[in-house]
Amino acid sequence: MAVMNREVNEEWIRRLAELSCIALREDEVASLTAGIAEILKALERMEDTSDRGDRMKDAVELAELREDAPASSLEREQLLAAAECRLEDCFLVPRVMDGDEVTA
Amino acid sequence: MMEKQWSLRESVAALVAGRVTSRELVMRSLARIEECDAAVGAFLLVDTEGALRAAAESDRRWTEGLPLSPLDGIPFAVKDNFCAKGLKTTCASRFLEDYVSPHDATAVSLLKGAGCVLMGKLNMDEFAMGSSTRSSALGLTRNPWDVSRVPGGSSGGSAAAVAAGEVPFALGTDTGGSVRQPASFCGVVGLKPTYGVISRYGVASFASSMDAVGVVTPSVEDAALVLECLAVRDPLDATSRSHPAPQFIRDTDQGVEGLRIGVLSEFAEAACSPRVQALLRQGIDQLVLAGAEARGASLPRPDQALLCYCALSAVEAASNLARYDGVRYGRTANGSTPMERASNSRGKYFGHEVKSRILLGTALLTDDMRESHYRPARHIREQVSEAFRALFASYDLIIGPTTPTGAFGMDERLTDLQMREMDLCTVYANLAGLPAITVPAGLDENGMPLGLQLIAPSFREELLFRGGRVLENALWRKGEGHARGL
Repeated sequence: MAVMNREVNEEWIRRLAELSCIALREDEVASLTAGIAEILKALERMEDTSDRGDRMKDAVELAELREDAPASSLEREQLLAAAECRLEDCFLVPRVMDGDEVTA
Repeated sequence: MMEKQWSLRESVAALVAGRVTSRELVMRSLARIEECDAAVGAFLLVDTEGALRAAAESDRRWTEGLPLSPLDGIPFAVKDNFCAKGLKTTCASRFLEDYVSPHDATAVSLLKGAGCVLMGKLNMDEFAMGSSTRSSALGLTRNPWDVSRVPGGSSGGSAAAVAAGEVPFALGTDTGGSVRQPASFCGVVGLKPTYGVISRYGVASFASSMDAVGVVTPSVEDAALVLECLAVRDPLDATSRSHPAPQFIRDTDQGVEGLRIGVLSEFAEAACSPRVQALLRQGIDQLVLAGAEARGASLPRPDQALLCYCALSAVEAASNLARYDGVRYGRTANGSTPMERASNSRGKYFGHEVKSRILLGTALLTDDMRESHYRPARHIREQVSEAFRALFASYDLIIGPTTPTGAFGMDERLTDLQMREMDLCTVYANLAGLPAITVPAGLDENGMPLGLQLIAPSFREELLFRGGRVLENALWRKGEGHARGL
């Protein structure tokens, strides 16, 4: 069984939110705690068969791979065609890093 | 709300014969959207100008005798997690509410390259997480059969638009059943092909090892027609795979004579309503009457598959949605540092269901739970795949229910776990990367559609079409569907 050695409480949910980089409102914490607790309790029914030495490979066959040889990349103009805004040969993006020094 | 659905095959025949123009088809779609989408809410965006422009170009090509394909001029729509150049791609999230895609998803590009006319974008559960379309931050979609009920999800808009006759086909995505379940709820055909057969380039990721582009159509034959256009290997998608035999139309009428059908009856008895079980028995009888051989088949511990899916999909979602940081695309909330801005953006613009799944995925990747929960889930997935490999040594097709019940009420509150259980019958095909189809088969005790599901070995979609046609003709065309003139 997939046993949990941890209590699912609001403090832990806040910690998970911090790890997930999500700022939660206080009114969200209780409902998220209840929902996640329900799912985790259900997941305790998962059987742990990893000690049987079963293979653990990707269940779906891997995609076809191309030759391991250098190949040409997209042309600059092809890439710049995707730019919402363009400044000469650069993508122009909104400034979101105010006050941070960006070193080339 | 329900009237004769829009046959793709008939529209193609009419275009080829010159009995209809693309403009007329587009006007039909626009008129139908105008007539019923206020109540159904399938569309988030209708690109009237773009559609009419594309229709004019299509008609010019037909006049010149140079159509791009037999589908040239056919209207279609896509779930709003498919990029379409110049149109908003929101994933039904406030995070991407204003995001305009600079390029087409490959699937959209292939259909446009065949001359199909994109009508617009369809509603969905936010970032494809859900089974009702209720978690959309941008609107409500209702089941055209009964607008007090959900269309299912997460491709609820796709299923509702086809069911309501607004477009002859739509694309969705299916990670744990998100094309098949809403198709079943809305009385239409939903196909999830083999993992990798349709390119996912330009489609927003949810759980990358299980996400598949799917097709929603009024009939099995129509699904084969669309798949033939889309089953193309794409170098832009690293998981894209070549289909060894991508001609599907010719196989749809070959019947099921001699096919060996495995019946997941114990599974249905454990999890599904009596009406679903009765429908499954009817479906088996019809396949046997058509010359197939049916025997009981068994999958080990079906409850384990759903739990495994819950765990793996949450982990992959947490990873995939890390890209939404308010910097690269999407909306940006205020904050005094970049990290604070990212955190505030994600807190402000993600909905409850998305946050819940990200937190769950993060939890399962912490030191202790990675070993106690994530690793076992990976093993269970491998066991599911092995179980199907063993089954397909003895059977050509597996039949079972698509959903445990019919569509539930818009106001019916389900817990997080109960919502996940809507995917109980469908997650297998995603875990094992197998092709599966749902075909409308009958009605539940509330008069709502119910589907039956067929699962085939990898790259054997033609078997789904053969079996699906038999079920569709025997149970739907001559049964409830016929009674409603569908």
